[in-house]
Amino acid sequence: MGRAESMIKRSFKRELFVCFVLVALLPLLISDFSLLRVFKAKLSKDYEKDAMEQMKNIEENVVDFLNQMDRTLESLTRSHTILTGITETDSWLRSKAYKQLYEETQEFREYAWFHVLDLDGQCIFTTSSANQKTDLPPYWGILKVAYAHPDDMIIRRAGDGNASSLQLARAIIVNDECQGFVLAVLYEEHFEAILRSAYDNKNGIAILDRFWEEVYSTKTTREENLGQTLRQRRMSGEKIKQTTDGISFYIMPIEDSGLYLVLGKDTVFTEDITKTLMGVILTIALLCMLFCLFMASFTSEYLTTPIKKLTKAMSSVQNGNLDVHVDSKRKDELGQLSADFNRMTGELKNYMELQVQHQRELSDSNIAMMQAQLNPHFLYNTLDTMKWVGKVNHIPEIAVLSSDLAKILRMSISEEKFVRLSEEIRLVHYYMEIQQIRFSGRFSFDVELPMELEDCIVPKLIIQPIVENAVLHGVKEQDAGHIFLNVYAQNGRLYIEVTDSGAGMSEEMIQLLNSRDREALKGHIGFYNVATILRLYYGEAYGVYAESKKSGGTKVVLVLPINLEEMGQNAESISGG
Amino acid sequence: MFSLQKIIEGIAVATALAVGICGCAADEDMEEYRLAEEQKLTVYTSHKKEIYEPIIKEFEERSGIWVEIVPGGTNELLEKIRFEENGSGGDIMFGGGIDSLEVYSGEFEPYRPTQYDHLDHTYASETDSYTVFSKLPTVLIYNKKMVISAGAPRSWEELLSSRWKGNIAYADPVKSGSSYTSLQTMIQVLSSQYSQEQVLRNFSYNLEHDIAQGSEEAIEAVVAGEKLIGITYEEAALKRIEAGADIGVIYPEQGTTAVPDGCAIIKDAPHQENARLFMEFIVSEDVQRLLEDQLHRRSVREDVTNAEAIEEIPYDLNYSREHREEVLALWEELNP
Repeated sequence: MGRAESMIKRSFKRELFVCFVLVALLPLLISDFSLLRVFKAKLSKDYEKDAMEQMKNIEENVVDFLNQMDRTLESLTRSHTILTGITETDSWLRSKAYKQLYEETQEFREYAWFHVLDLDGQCIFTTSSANQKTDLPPYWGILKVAYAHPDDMIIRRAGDGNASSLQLARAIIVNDECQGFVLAVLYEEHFEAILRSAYDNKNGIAILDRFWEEVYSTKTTREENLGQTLRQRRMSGEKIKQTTDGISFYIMPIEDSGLYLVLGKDTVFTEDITKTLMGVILTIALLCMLFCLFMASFTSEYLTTPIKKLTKAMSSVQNGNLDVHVDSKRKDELGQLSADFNRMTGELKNYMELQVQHQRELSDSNIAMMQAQLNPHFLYNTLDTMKWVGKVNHIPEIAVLSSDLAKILRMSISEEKFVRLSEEIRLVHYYMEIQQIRFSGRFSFDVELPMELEDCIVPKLIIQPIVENAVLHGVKEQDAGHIFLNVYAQNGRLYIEVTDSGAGMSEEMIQLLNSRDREALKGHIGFYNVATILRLYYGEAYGVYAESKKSGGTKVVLVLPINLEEMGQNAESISGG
Repeated sequence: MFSLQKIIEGIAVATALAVGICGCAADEDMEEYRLAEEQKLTVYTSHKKEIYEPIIKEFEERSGIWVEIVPGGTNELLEKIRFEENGSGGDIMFGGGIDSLEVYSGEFEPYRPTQYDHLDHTYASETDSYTVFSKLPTVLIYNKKMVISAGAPRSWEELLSSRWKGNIAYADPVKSGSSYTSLQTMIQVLSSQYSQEQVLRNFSYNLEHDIAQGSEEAIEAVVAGEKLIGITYEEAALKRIEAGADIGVIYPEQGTTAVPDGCAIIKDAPHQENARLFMEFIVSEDVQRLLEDQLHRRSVREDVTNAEAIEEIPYDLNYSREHREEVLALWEELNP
């Protein structure tokens, strides 16, 4: 069963089918069967009532007949003429007795044969037309009982061969002495005459004796061998009525005669009717089943189609196709689900596009940087030579210039994208040394770098362009200019301020610098690059901001996250992210 | 979502309910017709229907006991008794030659009926395991049309003489129990003059290999005039005469054997008491009279003998049993 259960549970359609079948079929079958049973019970009640009425009727007839016979036999036993017919051998007396017998039995001769037997059981007279031998042993059977009970009419079944009959006997008692017997024998034709109009002859009846042996039966009941079957059942202690019986029958004793009346009727529900009804029920059940199957497949189709569509769309998304769209005109939960899915893929797609754009911008800056790194080794070597030439010729400025330039160059062409803040600032120092020589020390440069921030990791070459700006656009024209580089941490952010004591910037220029407009910043590519690098690495919350100081000069602030991690890891996590 | 197990249980309950509604409707049994065990008796009988039917019917009427009749062949029923578990089958074995009953005496409950003193004790069981019921004398018959009464055979020797050569109807003793009894009768009656082998050889010679398959066939051969004389048992002959056959019965001069059949109560019979009542009944005067009056059998009661007396020769049951194989082997050799 476990396997069947898992079989069913593996498919939505099968689960539905089982549910439908249960819901549709079970009540149908239960009500059908109950109806059938109730119907049957009711019908057999009516049947039984009808049968009982008929049986009462038959019983009355039989009892009535037996009473009349009792009277007739009694009057025969009291007849002197008949007695003399037995005791005397005189033929005249005998024929008189014979005549008497005929007269007395006039009205019953249709219903029985009458015999007069002597004490030895020899038949003296008989009304039987057939030449039947009716001698009976007086020490045996009915005569023995009649002898022992002279006041009663004795009723006994007699079976000779296959024809059974009913015998009624009474002893002839004169002066307390038995002289003979009168005997009436009823055969099949007699019973037919007695019961002719007492019952519906569609039914079969049987009369059984005390031991349920058949005394009389109509043709149909005889064919069923009813008497013998009933006796057999009673003997073996089986149920007297059995469900396998082709007919239903009813049994009742006939007053105190010791006889039983059996009435057999065709069963209410013959095998045939039951079969037909069952056939109808099963056909309906089958149709129901088919309908359930159809409904199950329809419903599951209805429910699973959008789910399947969604599944398919999802796997398509998994493969990278974000252009999928699930069409659904439905307004129910599944329609909702499809709409949600569409919305989700849409947003995913937008996000992806943004990512791609970032990537592209980053690449652009890289390319620009790489173009700037033209043949750096040659430059580097040349600078080194220049340094040595300066030293040899005692021109220390040339040595310093070329040495500083070489260091800047080396740093700028190194593969590393991130450096320690202290290194970045050292680079700015080199740069400033060159500029101071260039501009004959017309300005001063100070750096304020707290110790704890020295190890902050920052993208390389982000300060130098800003400082360069400050030199070129700020203090270049002044005689005693001043550039101040201030680094500090605030609210978890790293601030790098470059302040110059120059003329300051116009309001438009400030706005331009903060606008991030690449086209507009064409002439300030350094500023733009730094802003872009910071934004791309750290997001929109970070970047470069410029402002004019009231006291004159310009202040440019770089805002970065504080990043104190190891350099290697840092670089990786950023490039990976 | 749902448990299949529970649903199936539900279906079972519902179905049971639906079926249950009918169950009560059809199930009214007729309690008043239930028979108590004391009212029952099971009789195994190897008698013919015309014998057991009137007797059992009368027993029912007189005792009020319902008798279940299980008819069958003697050996078949005795084997059945042997193999049935004690107390599970029949109550009484009615019929069967006492030689057969004696062999199975271990299967029977000894019982001596109150009427014992009135019974013929010639063949009484030493252990009371069976009680004799009726006697079946072996007789000769002849066709009255073809053999005048004066010329009919008178003695057993005649069967061995050439006078009736080719004219004797006789059933195969291998197949018919009564036929074997008559063969033994011949051997035992003539033992002073002929040896067993001589009897068999002479008799076989006279039969000319024309042997009937059963007792009925042997009688019919005489009735039809195919054979002039025959050997059979009295009841069969008398019955045939009553039915109108023109044959005569001869009781040989030296006398004949009358081996009785019997009746025995089965060990641990479930209706022991009723079986005893039945035993008492079958040896009662009324039944024994009926045997003689109507059933062509001879009573085992010494006070009931209407029939013409016959010269009875004791039949040696032991001899018969001990020599059975030997006799039949020789018989088959002589009559292939």
